[in-house]
Formats: sequence, C-alpha cells, structure tokens
Amino acid sequence: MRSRVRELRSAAGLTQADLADRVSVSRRTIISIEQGRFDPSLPLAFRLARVLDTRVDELFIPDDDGDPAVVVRSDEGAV
Amino acid sequence: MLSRVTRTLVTTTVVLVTVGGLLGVLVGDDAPADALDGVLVGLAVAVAVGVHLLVRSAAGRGVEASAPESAEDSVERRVWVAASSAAFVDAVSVLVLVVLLGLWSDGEWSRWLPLAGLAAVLVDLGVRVRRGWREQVGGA
Repeated sequence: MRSRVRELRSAAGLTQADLADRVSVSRRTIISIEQGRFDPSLPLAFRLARVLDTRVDELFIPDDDGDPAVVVRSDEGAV
Repeated sequence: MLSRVTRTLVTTTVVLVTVGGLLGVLVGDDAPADALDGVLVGLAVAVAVGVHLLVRSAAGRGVEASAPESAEDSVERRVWVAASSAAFVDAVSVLVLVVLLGLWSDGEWSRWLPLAGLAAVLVDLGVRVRRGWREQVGGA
C-alpha cells in the first residue's frame, strides 16, 4: 500500500520522530510506512490521519489503485 | 502486580505438590517413597512455572514494556507477534515429533531429543523474526 505520509509529514513540518511520538509508535514504524513496507493497523491509520489533518482514504492508496468512489451502473456508459 | 504473581505462584505450588504426591501414591507400589517422588516432581514443575511467571512479570514491568517499540501498532511488535504465532504451530509439531520419537526410542540418545527439539524451535523462531524484519523493515 502506498501512502502520502512522508509528503504530508514534511508539509506539516514534522520529523519522523515527532510523528512517531504523536501517534505512539516507534520511529522505525513511521519509516517502514513511508517506504510502503508496512501496512498500519486501522487505529494507527486514523491516528496518523488526525495528526496530519487529513482523511485515511487520502493518506493511503491501495496498490491495486481501484477507486471505490467511482461506480458505473450497467445501464450507464462510461463517459 | 507482584503480589498477584506471588499468590498465583503459592497456589500453583500447593496444587502441583499435592497432585504430584497423590499421583505418586496412586501409581507407585511403594507408597511413602513414591509419594515423595511425586511431591518432588510437583515441586520441580512449580519451580518451572514460577520462573516463567517471574520472567513474564519482569518483562511487563521493564523499561522495554513501555517503549514505543512495544506498542501494539509498532512494526517491531507486529513482526514479533507474526513470527511467534507461526513458530508456535511449528513448536507443537516439533513437540509431537519429540514425544513420538521418545516413545519409540530406548537408546541413550533419546534424552537429547528435547534439547534438539528446543534448538529447532528457537532456530525456527529466529529465522521467522529475521524474515519478517526484512520484509517489514528492510535491511539485514
């Protein structure tokens, strides 16, 4: 899973250690999340989103990159 | 917390020593001597349980227990939990194998079976932790 944690953390002026401290995990956890190696638990994802002032679905992007918000009904053609 | 551990330990010791003594009388031919053997076995098991409880208690009270690496959502904790869960299943299989080999073997070497089993389980755990670490964290 890809994430925008690094981008939003930098924009917020936080170091990895700052963010780790605020969400109560180790700094290595933040590094692994930013590298896309470690998928956080749902509670951690919500804590990260809250600290980075965003939404979970804007913070993490699944690798299959499907957009669940876009639904095309069978009687509608894609535009 | 220490008093709770102590209470558990005292209760466990009394129960194990009593059960050991009763089993010694019921199973053995020489009642007083077998009862004493049973009590000693019960005491040995109680000592093992006591060491286990004290180590767990010490780990829970140690500095590491409150460190961020021990937090539920930290990658270190997740790697450890995943590795130990997988190793537990393997450990049960190794235990069954050790028991079966122990039942069918009558050689002197059979006394080394538990040690070999323990070594296999520890190596398995180490390999799984290392593999999980490389996947989730990277590096060596």
